Amino acid sequence: MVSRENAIEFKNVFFNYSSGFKIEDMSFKIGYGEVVVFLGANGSGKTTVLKLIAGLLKPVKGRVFVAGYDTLETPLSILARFIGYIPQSPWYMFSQETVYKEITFTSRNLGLPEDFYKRQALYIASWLGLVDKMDRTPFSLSEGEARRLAIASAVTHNPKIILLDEPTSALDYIGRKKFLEILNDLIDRGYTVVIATHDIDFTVKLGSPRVIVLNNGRIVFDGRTSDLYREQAILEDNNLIPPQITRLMNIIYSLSNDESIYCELSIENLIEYIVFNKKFLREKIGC
Amino acid sequence: MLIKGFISGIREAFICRFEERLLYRLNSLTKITIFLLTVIATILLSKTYTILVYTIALVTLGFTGMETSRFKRISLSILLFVVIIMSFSIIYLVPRLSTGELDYIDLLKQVFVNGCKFYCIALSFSIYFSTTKPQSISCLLEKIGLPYKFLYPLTLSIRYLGVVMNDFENIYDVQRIRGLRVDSGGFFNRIRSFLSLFIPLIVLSIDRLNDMVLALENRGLGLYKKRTYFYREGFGFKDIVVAAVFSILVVALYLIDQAVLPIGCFINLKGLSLL
Repeated sequence: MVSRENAIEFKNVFFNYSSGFKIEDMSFKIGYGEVVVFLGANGSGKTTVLKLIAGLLKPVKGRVFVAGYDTLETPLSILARFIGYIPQSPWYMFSQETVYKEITFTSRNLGLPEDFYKRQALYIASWLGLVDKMDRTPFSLSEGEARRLAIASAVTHNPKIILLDEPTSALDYIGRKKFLEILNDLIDRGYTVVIATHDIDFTVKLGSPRVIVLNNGRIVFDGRTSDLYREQAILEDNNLIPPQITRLMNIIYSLSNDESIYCELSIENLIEYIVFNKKFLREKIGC
Repeated sequence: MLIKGFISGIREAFICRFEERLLYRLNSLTKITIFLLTVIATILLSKTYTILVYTIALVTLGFTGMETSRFKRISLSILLFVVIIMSFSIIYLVPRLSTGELDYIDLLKQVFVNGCKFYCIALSFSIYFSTTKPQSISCLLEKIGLPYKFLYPLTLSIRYLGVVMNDFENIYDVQRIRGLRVDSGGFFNRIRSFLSLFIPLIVLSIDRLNDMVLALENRGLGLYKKRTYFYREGFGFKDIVVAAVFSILVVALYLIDQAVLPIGCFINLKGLSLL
């Protein structure tokens, strides 16, 4: 029985590469509109999970369902309707003469009506600030613009699920900030967003999404970001160094034992907490 | 799936991952000797059974000398070309059937021999490149007298083939999930689909090459003609044994092929006429 309640469902998935790397008995569900970040060190299996979701890799055992479709039995041309995939390097995507053709590439491949994708392309290009670059070649774009073009071409066919592989690599501070704004916009628009990254700082800036930590092809943590920061052993085992603000929170927590500090991971909330608990913290520190 | 397997096979043929197996531990001179002996064998041998024995010997060396999965992948990617070579042989030889120069058995023998010869050359070439470190290749060629200024880019380009195949695989995956179908549609549609794979590959490669050239110039490649090596590979007992076995095998098979040794007649007498 195909379940359509979840955008993505892994049912006891096994997969192995010839190099020996394995994914063993992996199970999880991701609901529609949910934001999930796969965290882990290099070689932990993040990209493999994304490729399994995209149907590019097929499980050896178990089942992967995407929008209710079993990836083992469904051709990629059908899965492509539900998925927008943004690879680690956007330059892997670009093959068309103009930005406009690049944006509409997937829609044309899927045989969607021309008036639909023309409208969509203009709408998305104006949203991402690419309207004035529609006639330029994609190869003349800057890294940040290329990322935006990659997003534009991944969402023009109106997929349900967006997969992002290491989206912040090779981006400078401004690029990251802009990219984060776009990503939050995508989340607000109701897309199911799945991100594979080792950038824990970026995860914090996304609010407190669901985090799945992978280690050697196994899930070692599945929960909220705020809960992950309390799991020192998991963080250390997976080379995940939390941002400074979280480390400060951990120190305050070790003094106060007050779990409410983890409610919202933002500088503003931390300042507020410190101001409100000034007296109490002073007593604890002993000054 | 065929394209994915082919990409993986080509990558395996050119990426050297060092393993504790016989072929990885052999001196690069020994492996190039096996390659040259194979070329000589394919020129000299013409009988079906002699080329078959040589193929079996080479397959045995590959099978025992490297990881089974890697050997299988390399062999499969070569077999694709073998099929093409055999098809061309059939196209070339079929007209001779009508003139009476060949009968069907001869045609089959000839096609089989051509396929085996191509397989042997490609396999020994792949064995050499996939089990030899690129620096060992350049070290060997430098001994022959080639200037290092040209050898270093050569070794870089050998290493680069693996990177290109990785890029190609990534591009292929990305374009497939963007709805691109390279295995369906008419001829022109397929050409257009392949362009969507090759354009990003070419752009990425040019970009990488530019970085590579800058790095090489920056590090002063070619400023000094004489080079020293941190370590040199020795020519051990294993090298002597393997080189000697293959040399003797080629000479023996040639003698059998030319009917100097009577084993070929024996095989024919036993009624194995197809061989």
